[in-house]
Amino acid sequence: MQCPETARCLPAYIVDELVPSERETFEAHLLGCGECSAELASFEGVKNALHAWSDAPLPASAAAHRERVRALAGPVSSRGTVNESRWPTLNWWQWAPSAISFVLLAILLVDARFLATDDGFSLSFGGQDNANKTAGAEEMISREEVQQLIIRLEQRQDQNTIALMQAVLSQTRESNEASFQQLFAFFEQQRLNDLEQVRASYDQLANSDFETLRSLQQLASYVSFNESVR
Amino acid sequence: MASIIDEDQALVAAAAAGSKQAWVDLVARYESRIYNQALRLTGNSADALDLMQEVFIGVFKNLHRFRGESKFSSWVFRIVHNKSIDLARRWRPPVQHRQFEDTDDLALLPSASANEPDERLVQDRINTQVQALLAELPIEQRLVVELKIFQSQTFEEIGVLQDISENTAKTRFYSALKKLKNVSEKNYAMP
Repeated sequence: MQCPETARCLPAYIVDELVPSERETFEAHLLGCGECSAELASFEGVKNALHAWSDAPLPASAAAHRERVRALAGPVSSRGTVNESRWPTLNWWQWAPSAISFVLLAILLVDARFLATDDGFSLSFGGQDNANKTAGAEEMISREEVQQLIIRLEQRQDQNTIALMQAVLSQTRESNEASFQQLFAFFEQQRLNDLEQVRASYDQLANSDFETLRSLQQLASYVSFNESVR
Repeated sequence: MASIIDEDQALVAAAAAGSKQAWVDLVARYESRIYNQALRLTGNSADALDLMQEVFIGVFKNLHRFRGESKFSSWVFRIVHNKSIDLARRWRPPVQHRQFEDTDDLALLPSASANEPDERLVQDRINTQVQALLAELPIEQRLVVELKIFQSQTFEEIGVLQDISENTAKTRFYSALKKLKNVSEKNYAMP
C-alpha cells in the first residue's frame, strides 16, 4: 500500500515548492518512511535527467522558417536587417503642415521680405528700411507677439501630433493603450524639443547686441546682390 | 513623462506600431527559446520548427493584445502552450526511442555546432534522450513537466494556465514523473 504522503508532498518537495514548515515535516517523515525515500531517489534521477537538457541551436533547415517569420512585418534582407527608422515613414501630407509652420515662424522671426522689381528679385531681412532695421529690431517682433506665435505654434503642433499619431495607428491598423501612450510620449518630447529651440532662438535674437541680425542682413545683401547680378 | 519599460516591452510596442526592425529583433531574441520549448514538446526538429513558426505568427497577430501585465516571455509561452495542444490534436506519430548505435548523429547536428562537434554531439544525444522520455507522456502531462521543470512555474500558475486546480496540476506532475521513471528504468540506466 502506498504511503499517502508520497502523492501529497513528494511532487512539491522535489521541485522545492513546500513552505518551510511543510518541508520540515516531510523531511522528518522521509527519515522513517522507506517507501517515500526510495520514491524520492528515483524521482530525483528523472529530474536530473530532464535537467541535463541544454538548449540546442536552430538547425540549418530553420532558415526558411526564420525568413517567413521575419517577413511577417514586411520584406527583410537576407541578413535579417531592414532599412527603416523605428517609426514608420510618413507621407508628405503628414509632415508638411509641421514644416510649413516652422518656415512661417522663421520668416516672422527674421521679418524676411521677398521683393520682385524691374532689376530682379531681392530677399531682405528685418524690413525694407535698412537704415532703421538695427535700431528697430526689437520693434519688429515684440516679445508678446512671439509668445502668441509660440502659443499658436503649440496649438498647431498639438493638432499635428494627434494627426501624426492617428496616421501611425491607422498604418499599423491595430494598437493598444500602452503603445499609444509611448507614441504620444515620443511625439510630445519631439514637440517640446522643437519649442525649446524656438525659444532659444528668440532669446538669442532679443537679448543679443544684434550681431545675429547683422549677420543675417549681410547674408541677405549678399544674396540680393548675387540675385541682381544674375 | 518617461516610463520605465523593459526591452521586450519596448520592442513589442515598436513592432506593434509597425517597426519591422523591432519585429526582427524580437524574433532573434526569442527564436532559440521557443524552438527548444517546441523541441521538447513535439519531440522532433521538423515539428518544432513548424510549431515555432505558428507561435511567431500567433505572437505577431496578437502583439496589440499584449498589455505588459505579465512578462513577455510568459505571454509567449502561453501561446506555445496553446499551439502545442492544437498541434497534438492534429496528431503526429510520437517519436520512437532512438537506437543511438544505428543512427547517424552527425546528420542531425545543427549547423552552428561545427566548432565543437564532440561536445555538441554528446549534448545532442542527451537532448534526444530527454525528447524520447517526454514523448512517452500525453501532451497534458508533457506540458506540466515543461512548465514545472523547464519554465519553473508554480503549481498554482500551472493550474491557472491549464484551467485546472493546483492539486490536479500536482497530481498530473506526479503521474508524469512516475511514468518517466518507469520508462527510464526500462530503457536507460539512470544515474
